[in-house]
Amino acid sequence: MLFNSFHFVFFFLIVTGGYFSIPYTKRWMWLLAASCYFYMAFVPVYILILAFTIIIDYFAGIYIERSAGKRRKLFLVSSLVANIGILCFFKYFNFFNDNISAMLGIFEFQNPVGNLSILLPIGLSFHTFQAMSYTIEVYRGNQQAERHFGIYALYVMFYPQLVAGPIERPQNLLHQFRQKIDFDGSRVFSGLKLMLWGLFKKIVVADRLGIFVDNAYNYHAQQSGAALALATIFFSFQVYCDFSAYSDIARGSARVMGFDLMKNFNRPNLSRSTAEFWKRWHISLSTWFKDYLYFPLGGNRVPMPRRYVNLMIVFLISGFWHGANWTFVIWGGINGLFLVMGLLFKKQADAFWKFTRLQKFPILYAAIHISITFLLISFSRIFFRSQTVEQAFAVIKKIFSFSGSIFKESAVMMLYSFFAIAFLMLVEMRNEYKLPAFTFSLRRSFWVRSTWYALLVILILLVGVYDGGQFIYFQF
Amino acid sequence: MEKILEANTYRSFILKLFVFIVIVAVVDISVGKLLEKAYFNQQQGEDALTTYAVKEVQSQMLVFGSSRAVNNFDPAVMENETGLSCFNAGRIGQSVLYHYAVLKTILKRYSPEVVVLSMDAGEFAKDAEDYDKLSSLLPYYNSHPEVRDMVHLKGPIEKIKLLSSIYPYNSLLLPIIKGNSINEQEKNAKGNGYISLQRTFPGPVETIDYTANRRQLDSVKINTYLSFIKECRQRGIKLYVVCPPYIVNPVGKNLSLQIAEKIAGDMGVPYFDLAYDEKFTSRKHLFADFRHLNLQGSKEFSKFISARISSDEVPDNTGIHNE
Repeated sequence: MLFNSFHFVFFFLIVTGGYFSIPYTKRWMWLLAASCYFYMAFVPVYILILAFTIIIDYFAGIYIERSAGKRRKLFLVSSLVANIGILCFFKYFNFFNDNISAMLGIFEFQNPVGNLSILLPIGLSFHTFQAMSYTIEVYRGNQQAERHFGIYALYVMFYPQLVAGPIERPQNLLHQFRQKIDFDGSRVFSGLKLMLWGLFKKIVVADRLGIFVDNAYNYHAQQSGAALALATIFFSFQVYCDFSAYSDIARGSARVMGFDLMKNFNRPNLSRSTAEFWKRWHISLSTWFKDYLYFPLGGNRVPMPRRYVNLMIVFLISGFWHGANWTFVIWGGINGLFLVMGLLFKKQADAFWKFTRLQKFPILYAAIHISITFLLISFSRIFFRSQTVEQAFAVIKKIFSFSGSIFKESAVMMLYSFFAIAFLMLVEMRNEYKLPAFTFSLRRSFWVRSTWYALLVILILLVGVYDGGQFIYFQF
Repeated sequence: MEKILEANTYRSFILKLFVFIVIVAVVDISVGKLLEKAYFNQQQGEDALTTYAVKEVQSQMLVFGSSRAVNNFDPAVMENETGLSCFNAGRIGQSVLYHYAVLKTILKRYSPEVVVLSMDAGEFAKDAEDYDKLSSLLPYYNSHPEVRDMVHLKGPIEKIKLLSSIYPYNSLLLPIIKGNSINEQEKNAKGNGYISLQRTFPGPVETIDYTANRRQLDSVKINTYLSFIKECRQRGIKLYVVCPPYIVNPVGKNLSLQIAEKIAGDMGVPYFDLAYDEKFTSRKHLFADFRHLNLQGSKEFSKFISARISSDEVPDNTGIHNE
């Protein structure tokens, strides 16, 4: 069930209506049933995988809390192995098997093991990571083990963030399922507005840009370098709007019912460095890797060379988390390199900018930094978007051949795309820099605000793309 | 006290929601009406041609098909050769689903004497995009009930989407502005539906293996093709199914074209298969690309087809005498 489908509209209305109609002590049952239905709308049988990990982690949490010393660690490791095992089996088996086959092929051996022909359970990487954060936090003593099986199951399965995050932490979410939440009109409106903005980003921006990007990348051999460069820039906006739209709709639909999910994006396209970008992009995953991988590896408190290695490890694994393909590993590696280079050459970079005296012109200085960061991140995304490493290198080669004209698509299509990006950036810049103009949505007058949001609905109807389909991050 | 407060909260929320919905509805209807007026006022562009086909055309001969109809069949040439007035009602990127809907709207007004249906190699292949493209029919949904069956094929909730007055004009704002912004001289010069291509195919001629990676067939499209033929038979219209030339080296036979030919044969409809006819494929300079003829090529092709139609001892495909 996609967030941008009518099926979801009916589902959301029924679930939310039912939620406020029943006594709060019974609401967890209603939400759990709704979440099961939501998940089963994709591939029903895969709920068994989810049930398996929920049972394992539920008991692991309790036993970790009860135990001490090595036994405590043993229960944690068992839980992590079960979760990572399922992830590896469903997501990475074919990848590893293909690579083994390729390696054996070099020595003219044949791999006797065939590939699995199974669909990847939707949102597997997301709910596995969320489940792991629970057992780790219980192990660290930051979270009490949840005794109520239904509430724990709901923590893993809560439908708004089940298939594409935000990847929640138990300290933030678990206690909310026990709170008595009264109906609050202003909160409901706030949630609906967030959902509407998410819908706008998905339908008007992401899916519109996706038309050009798909054409350019799927037929890259026939495209000019300029068209591919533009498609790469468009893809940066597309993937941001697509994923942040999902997060907005997830957070909005949870907020309507009174739940507060963590913010996943903080206007990453306005970052002034790649390090800042990673603090603003997919925050729930970045902080997950920071808390559960980077810090245990030593974090910032280790000698610099070790810190560089740690950063590379985190980004390579983060890339691999996204998909079982070398393209994602390379994408992660490039981003890790950006951070390492940023640390390595910080003094030289500071000296350079001082030499240019551009700091005297703060707007220009910021604009240059934002542009450089955006271009670097966009460059790395060539690997994120390409199907194969060969395709990514072919695209890069074409782009740097500086050949051909940009406008391969119709002028109308391009105008819609530029309009969508301009509108998005106007709103983002207003929010980032608190610009006085364009603040209709913040006015106190109900009529002004309502008219503004009505216009947003009209824009969705007028220039939205209704056949865009899937969210990009569903595949992870 | 708590209950009273809660009831007030609900009441205030529902009132605000109602007001918001009313604002959206009012803006939707107002903007929708403006767009409707502007849409049907277009004097050029493919929407204007569709409106002309749906509402006004009275030609004796009509051509239907995708870009391979629009770019390959020149009505001016066909008129000269056959003596029948001709209009090219094809539309770029569309499939038989769209052509059948437009044919039905035309038949509501009158029956042309001759209909030419142009075929594509992927005509009956399953392709969700062909259903998405039926959105070109949305502006006619309310005024022309004949298109509704085809519009409903877009999806089960199309009826709900159409509650909005703006939705039928989704993504059409800029084409509508363009279609309305022409000078007086250009006014009423809609054209005859034909668009010439000036370029010349640069080559090389590629090989297409029809035996490999066969796409799944779409039974809805095949049935619609059947309905298209039956509708013409019932009205006594002389129907010709034509597959214009491709400049490729084919391996094996294309399944869609085989099916189209078989059905046409079974229904007694003349089928002109020129897909790989050497008369055209031996002359690369007649092509704009591998699937479209250029200006010179389309003129020759239109002349050739017209001659075939004129000289055809038209087999009775109407079925009238047999029934």
